[in-house]
Amino acid sequence: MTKASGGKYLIFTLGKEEFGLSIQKVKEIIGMMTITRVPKTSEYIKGVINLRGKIIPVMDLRLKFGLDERTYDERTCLVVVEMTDNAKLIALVVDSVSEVLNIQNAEIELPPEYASQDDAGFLRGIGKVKDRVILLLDADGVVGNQDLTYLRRNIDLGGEFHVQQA
Amino acid sequence: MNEQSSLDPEIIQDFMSETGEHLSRIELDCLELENDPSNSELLNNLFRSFHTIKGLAGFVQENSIQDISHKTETLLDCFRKSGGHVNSTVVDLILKSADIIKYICKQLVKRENISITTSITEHMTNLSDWVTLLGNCEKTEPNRIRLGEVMLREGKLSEEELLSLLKKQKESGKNFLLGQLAVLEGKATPQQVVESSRKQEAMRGDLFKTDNAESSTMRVASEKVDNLVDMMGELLILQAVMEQEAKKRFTSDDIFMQNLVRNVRITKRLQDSAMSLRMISLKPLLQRAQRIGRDTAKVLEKQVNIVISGEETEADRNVTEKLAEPLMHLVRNCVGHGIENTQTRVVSGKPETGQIHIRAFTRRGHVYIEISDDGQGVDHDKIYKKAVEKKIIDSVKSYSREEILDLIFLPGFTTAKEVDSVSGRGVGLDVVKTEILKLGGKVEIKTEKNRGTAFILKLPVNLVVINGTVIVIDDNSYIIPTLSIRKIEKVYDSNWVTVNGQRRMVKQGKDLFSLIPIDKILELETCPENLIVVIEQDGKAAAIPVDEVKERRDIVVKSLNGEFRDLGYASGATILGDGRVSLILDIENLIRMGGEKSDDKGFGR
Repeated sequence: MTKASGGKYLIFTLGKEEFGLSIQKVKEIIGMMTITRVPKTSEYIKGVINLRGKIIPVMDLRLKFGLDERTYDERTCLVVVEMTDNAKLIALVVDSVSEVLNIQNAEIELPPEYASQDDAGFLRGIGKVKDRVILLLDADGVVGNQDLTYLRRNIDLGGEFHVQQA
Repeated sequence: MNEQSSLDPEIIQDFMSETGEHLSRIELDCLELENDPSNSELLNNLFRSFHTIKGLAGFVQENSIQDISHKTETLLDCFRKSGGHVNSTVVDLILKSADIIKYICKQLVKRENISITTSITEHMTNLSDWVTLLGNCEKTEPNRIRLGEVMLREGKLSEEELLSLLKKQKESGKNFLLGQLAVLEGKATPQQVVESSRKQEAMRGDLFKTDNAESSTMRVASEKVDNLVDMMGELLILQAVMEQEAKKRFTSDDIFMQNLVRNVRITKRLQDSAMSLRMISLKPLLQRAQRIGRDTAKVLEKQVNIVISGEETEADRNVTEKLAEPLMHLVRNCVGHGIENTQTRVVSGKPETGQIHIRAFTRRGHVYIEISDDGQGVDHDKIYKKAVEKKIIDSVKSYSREEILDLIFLPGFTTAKEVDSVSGRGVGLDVVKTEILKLGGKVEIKTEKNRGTAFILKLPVNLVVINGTVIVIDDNSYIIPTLSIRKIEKVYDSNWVTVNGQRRMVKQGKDLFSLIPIDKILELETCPENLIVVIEQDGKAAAIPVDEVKERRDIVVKSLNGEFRDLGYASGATILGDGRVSLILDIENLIRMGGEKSDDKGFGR
């Protein structure tokens, strides 16, 4: 895993925590818009939106990180990021976007050992700017390569509808 | 080859696409020539094609291609001059030349060093031998028109003047060109000579000219067209949004609305023509299949005549592109399995030569390609036995004829005893079915013992714009492709048929439709019960309960990102007039989900 390097970061919040995404990965920031539900996907996939003619998936970062769901309000934002591998776009739901911050290389520390083990593989460093602690995320790692469709592959979709035997 | 790698990729690209066109023309002409050996026009076409390739190869400095096309050209010229008829050995030779050029081209694209294999050198020698055999034609330039003749014809020189000039030219040891001498001797002005020599060029050009009618086409990079179609899609979406907004604000007699309506009409036409740019004729595809069939027949030593028709049929490039492989497998299948060998055919009272007909046509928004043969037909019993033997089906249950026939599309299924170069591994038909399904099409098979077999491929004309019906389920809009809708009906309590307390079917008069459990599929808490939309595909029908049916409109199909590919219930998405995304229901899958539960049949999958 490579440590996050210095540069400009988009800072957003989820609850009380502050997170940073490298500005290079961020395509745009938009207000909340109508999301079309896509059934049979993971709960953190809220559905799809129409971004100027492009249909892109929406991932709720709160749910992805196992935080409580929160009703979207006027501060809720969609941060559209681009995947490195295939240039695909995905919109991340965050509580609010605060600023773009220049974080120096020297201000970034490696995440603690335990965090880099498995599910926190998307944490690339901890930015310590003055008295703030900013968790620097790797967008590709957050979205992951896993299939967003949480399919009950082993159950034939029709299987559930068999007449139950008493 | 170092100079090759320094070549501009664009030049190579141009070379490839132009050469490719000529090569496919060569194939077609060859096949036609075989059937009609006295046709001198075909010989001329072939000659021109090779000549052009030779010229093109000069640009990319590809000597081997130049050599081969030159030799082939010479061979063709011999026939052209002598008026001799081309037999199938010569056609093979010409086709081989085309194949070799294709092969070299492939290496050229990959920027590999051109490897001249022994088979290529052999072929070259073979070509030269033929030319020697036919009398060396290489030295006489084809129908060369001399400058003197032109000037004579134009009255710029008299016959005596020309003769004396020619004499002087000979005396000077051919150090001067005729035109130069004419000027030096004061018989003609330089302008006149230039004029005549242009004329001479033009006349010579006539001989090599390609059909001008065909060159009124323009080569455009496919990405540009794809881009245009994409933008068109966005424009349509935006327009739908604007229409919806405008309807709220203006009355229909408002000047703005009138203009908007006009705008809509123009956009529609614009969209049609943008779409038509991507429509390409199936001709090259069918020709290729014909060629493959011919070659397969040669390998298997079978006598087969392959006819193609409906080449003018068009389909979206995205569709045609993916048809090449399935068609190849089907044709090989027809030649390999369908057509019997000559003895068998004679015994069963059929003409010695087998017939294969590849036919394309359009009907109701779909393109059909039918490949039929007059061979032995698919042996229903043999498949059944093999399937039981392989434990694919259960000998206790009974299966319909269609179900048995459908088995031949299973991967690895074959009735052939041995694997040969053409078939027997049971891969081909599986590929066909998978590819066609991926395109949203289907494969049908009709067969009759000893009468022949027909495979019918049904495909959507394009994958971009379809007519969809917008329905609402639980406050969400979904799209059902209008072509798949049989009817929309109101349902009453008495229409439901329940099994163990669950609504399973809908009764409408004499019809009984199985109900698609849309609430479970879409993870809803309640199931709509107002209306049903009866959907139908491949003769199977089922009912989707919906809350509301809104409108019917042309929609732009967008594929869902890879992440959503396996949803099962949706095949794509579109953007509606309100700017919202709406999922397009996958009719085929839904029917399967709903339909199969009512009668527990199938192959134990």
